[in-house]
Amino acid sequence: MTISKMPSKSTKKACRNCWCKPQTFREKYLVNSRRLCALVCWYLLILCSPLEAAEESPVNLAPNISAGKYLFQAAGGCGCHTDTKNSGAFLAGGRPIKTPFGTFYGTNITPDPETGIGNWSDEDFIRAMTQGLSPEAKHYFPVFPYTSFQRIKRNDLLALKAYLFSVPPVKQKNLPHDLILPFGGQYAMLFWKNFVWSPQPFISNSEQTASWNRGAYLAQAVAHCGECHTPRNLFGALKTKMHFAGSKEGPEGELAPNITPHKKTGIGGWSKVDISYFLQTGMKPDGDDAQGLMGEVIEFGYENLQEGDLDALAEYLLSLEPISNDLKPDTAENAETEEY
Amino acid sequence: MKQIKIVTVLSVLLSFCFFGSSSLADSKGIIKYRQNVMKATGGHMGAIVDILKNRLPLADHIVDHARSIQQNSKMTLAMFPKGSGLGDTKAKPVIWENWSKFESAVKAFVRESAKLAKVAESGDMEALAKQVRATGKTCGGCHRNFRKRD
Repeated sequence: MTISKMPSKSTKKACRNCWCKPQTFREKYLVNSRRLCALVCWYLLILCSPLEAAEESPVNLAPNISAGKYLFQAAGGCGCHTDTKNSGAFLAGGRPIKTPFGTFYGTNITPDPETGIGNWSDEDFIRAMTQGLSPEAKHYFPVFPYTSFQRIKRNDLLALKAYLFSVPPVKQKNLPHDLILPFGGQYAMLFWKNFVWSPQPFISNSEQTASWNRGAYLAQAVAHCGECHTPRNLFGALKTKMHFAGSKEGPEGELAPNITPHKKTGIGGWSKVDISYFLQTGMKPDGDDAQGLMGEVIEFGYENLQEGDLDALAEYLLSLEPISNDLKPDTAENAETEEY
Repeated sequence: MKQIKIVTVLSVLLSFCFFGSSSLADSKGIIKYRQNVMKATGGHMGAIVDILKNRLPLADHIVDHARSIQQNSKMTLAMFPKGSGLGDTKAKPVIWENWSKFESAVKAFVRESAKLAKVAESGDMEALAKQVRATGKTCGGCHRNFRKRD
């Protein structure tokens, strides 16, 4: 695989930018077979090149299971992989997740060698988490949020793997996803990964405090807040300009509220302690409790976080640019649609 | 002919409006009532939490808030009579289809809020913080399974 050498960052970026535009693509390349050939070569090169997130050099530290467990909880307890409603085994998959693109079934991530991830090497795990590729080089659908997880530090990923390998292995075959046609194939995923998704690494901000950076890392990478709270475009990619501004079409048809500090439509009325207490207990400032998936990720994950981390998350969220995005239909309209 | 058609269409549309609004109306006022009691319950809960998380020098208020929650908890089940699921409400019909499950979820709330009132009387703040969370969890017992999402 000499081809797997990574192209320099700048070339890759330039090419991607021009190929993204359909007109230029058709006019410039499709009519010209030599150029088309070049295009295919570049395409293969990009496919085989590792993404930048995993570039830290491997360190020979024995990853710590308890550190991994903590990260697992900071990720919200990975509840998509446990079919809690039907009393499914812990992390053995089978939970249906309804999305606008069809119904996905959570996979078995217990260390069972046959049906789970027990045969995965460290590199397999890191490839899955940062590039969305299975050990057999199949592309995962981005319902598995590798789009956020690719920002997790390598050492943290290895700790997470150590923890996952410490849970009881369960033999349970994965269910095939039930998707709406154009989204179903591997080619669709190839297209998506190369032309729709542009992975952005986590960049720390030296002008901000250490706790702000910790909160940003947790929110953007580990806790993967944006996967539900940032709206998606038609192709299922997150709208970066609407970072954390809420989405009407979250997983399982749930509304994911605007969590930018916008006074009227977001959480601008919440104090820092309101947010950290909410993440710890699921209780909102008005005494109501978190619903649906948020209730789950708190119960199985965030409530175990240390107060410093909860405060860091709150500090980060309150520092975001407030975006006005009203997701709730007004009450009159609501009354009309509620029962019919 | 044309006029008759228009009249028919209009009358059908009008009857929809009429029919729609009449069945939407909260004829017995029960929906609004239970929403008010629920808001009050949530308000007392939020008030206790405000005192705790901001360390307000109002700890002596907690007992009264906790007692109010306990009193409201005892009203909760009766606020969901059969047939009160139609209208501008987030209560799911499954409440009445699976009444025994709903009932036991409400009873868990009654039990935990009674404990909350006791712990509040004892003045042990650490135990109180724990019991607030335990009580808060029983809210989810109904809200997650029996309440429509926003």
